[in-house]
Amino acid sequence: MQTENIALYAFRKYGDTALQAAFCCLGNQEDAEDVAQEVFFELHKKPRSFNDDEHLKAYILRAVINRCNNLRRKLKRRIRISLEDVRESELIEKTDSMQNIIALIKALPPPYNAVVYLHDCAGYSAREIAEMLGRKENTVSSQLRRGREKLRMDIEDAGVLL
Amino acid sequence: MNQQQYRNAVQQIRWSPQKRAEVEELLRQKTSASAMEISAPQKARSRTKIHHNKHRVTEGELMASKHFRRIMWIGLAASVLSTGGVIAGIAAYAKMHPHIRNITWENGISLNLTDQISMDVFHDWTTNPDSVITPTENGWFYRRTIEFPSDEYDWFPSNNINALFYTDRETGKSVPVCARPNCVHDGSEYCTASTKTYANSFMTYYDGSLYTVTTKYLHPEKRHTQFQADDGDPLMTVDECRQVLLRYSADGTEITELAQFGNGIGTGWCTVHRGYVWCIVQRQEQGEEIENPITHSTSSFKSGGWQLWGYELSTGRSAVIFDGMGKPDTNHVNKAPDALYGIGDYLYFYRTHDDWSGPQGLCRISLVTGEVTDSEEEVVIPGNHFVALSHSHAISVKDRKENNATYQDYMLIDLKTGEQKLLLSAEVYGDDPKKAERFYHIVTMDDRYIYAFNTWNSVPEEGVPRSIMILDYDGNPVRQIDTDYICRSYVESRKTKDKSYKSYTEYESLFYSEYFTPDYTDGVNLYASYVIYGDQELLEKEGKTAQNAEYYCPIESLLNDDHPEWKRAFTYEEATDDAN
Repeated sequence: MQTENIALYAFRKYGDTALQAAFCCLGNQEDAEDVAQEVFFELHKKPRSFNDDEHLKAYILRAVINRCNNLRRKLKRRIRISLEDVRESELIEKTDSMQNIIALIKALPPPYNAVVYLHDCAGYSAREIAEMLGRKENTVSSQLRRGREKLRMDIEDAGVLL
Repeated sequence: MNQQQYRNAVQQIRWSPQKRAEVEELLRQKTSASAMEISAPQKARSRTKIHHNKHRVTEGELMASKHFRRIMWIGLAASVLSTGGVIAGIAAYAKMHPHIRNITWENGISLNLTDQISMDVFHDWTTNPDSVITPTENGWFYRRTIEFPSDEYDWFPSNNINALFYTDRETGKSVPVCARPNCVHDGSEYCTASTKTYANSFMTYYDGSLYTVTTKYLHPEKRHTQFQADDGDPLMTVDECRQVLLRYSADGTEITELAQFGNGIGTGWCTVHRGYVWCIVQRQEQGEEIENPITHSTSSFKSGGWQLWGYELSTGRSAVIFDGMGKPDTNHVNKAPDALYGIGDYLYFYRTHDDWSGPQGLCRISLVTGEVTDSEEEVVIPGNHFVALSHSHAISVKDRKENNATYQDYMLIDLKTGEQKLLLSAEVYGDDPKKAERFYHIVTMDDRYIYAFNTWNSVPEEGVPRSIMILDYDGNPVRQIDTDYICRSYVESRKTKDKSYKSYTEYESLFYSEYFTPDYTDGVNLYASYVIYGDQELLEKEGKTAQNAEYYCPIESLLNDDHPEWKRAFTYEEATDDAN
């Protein structure tokens, strides 16, 4: 399998995945777009080879999460939006319950956000996430459990109807 | 909310057509540089990911390291003389007057059980999973990251070394648990605090040593089973790592491999109880490739159930005493139980389910008969969230909806009789979602009391003082302490000043957060994490410095003093030479 432009290929195939991962980590659409596009621009500037699509996807996700961590560190801020802020955000103005859930996902703080996304949305196992994030598998399992619990409680607190 | 609903929600997040077109247009440029082949032959390329010697030990650290061994030995000697509370006293008595019971199960497994009891029953292993604290008589062991600079950060940037530290309670000094001269604690095999031969894992402290079930890497350069650090980096197979039981000497002089539990990655649990180190490990093998139904990736690194091992401290013999299975998750992994506690004649552990309903079952195995309750129908606490454990009781919480309100019912369960009673019922959400109603959340317990702290649905910008409530086993409040620590977070929006940061809007948000959160007790002290973070501008405005630290307060002080004093135990960012 050969592709003419690996970055373009990656963006078309995993662009939304990268954006979703960045959004879950940063809780901010604009920052998420910035980070996600930078990953593809970097790959465009320094193309590299991959074993297969799964390897490419893992690279993209790893790069997005690292850049999210770097952005937080660089700006000396962790974007952890309180439930109150979320309720007042533009997303919450929409009555659709799915949008409400997305707003609450934005409020899920690190390190739970990346772990919950990678496990429950991207489908990676705790061990694979541990490898990707450089954490212990038990740590990932604990963070996954706590992150889910927090999100579930937030949703109940906010009275979101599912 | 379940996994599918979460996934559906996240998948609503997509690039706008206009933005997608903009990015694609940029990526189309200079296509020749970007042309690459997928499945191209891997090119061997070495990259040193750890920059050795960039962290030189300072004179202060060296002196601290030299003093460390002496301090530790003095501390250990003092521990023999001190009672250290009721539990420590019982443990010391049991150690001095060992009574051994020879037990043989129906299946022929034979155990020599002593009267020694586990010291880490109150420990919530998952409270702070990144840096588990292991209290001792005179201080705390914990893990802290030493950062090594990296030029590249877009792939595996793991130049950070996770090292084992010790903080002396009296002096407040923190040192790496490594007594080897001139060591720079850079992850080399030479260092006992940060060696990369063994992975980091949870630890338990007993009789001057730390025990852990962890991974031994036969080829430390191979640390990954699926994700390559760089093109051509080798992947690890199951038979290139071992699950081992390690003993770290508390004075930082040696690491001893006590037992091997087979191939694979050791991510198990251990506790010292009744003369044994009990270990839960996951059985792993190199199997046929199986596809993940979500990612469609394949893996041959398989787990096939879990095992409970017993390592007899007096003889050094180890054996499997129970083979467990479990339901494979979407990745075909039979997840091993979480945590392990030794209480009386039982070992307790809990099982979680791979869905969002979150029920947890507290299960146990009898050391006398070998009888196990680990199925969903037979668990000690079925279908609730496990909260805390003492030597006689457990606490679980379950949600209840009534009259448009949501309640959390905390239940106290007698471990001997199974009897349950309602301890505390907290209304966490009522008719008015905006109300800043204060309710209490139980977080930990010991053999005398139950500890809860106030929480809220919405926090005013000026914050809410953290309040701690101590309850007895009947649910009666014994003491309520309003601390001086304010919990709050807020966001300030303003026009962007930092031109180096590209943003689609001309506005940026500044953030400030400050939280003081009690998290667990060892029966002597109550511990709390105190985290302050945010943009530097707001930190300066608030007159605060960013920190991620662990604080403690003696329980007797919480019970009796008008104004209990909290002290900083250590901080996760840097050695606390200037603690307190």
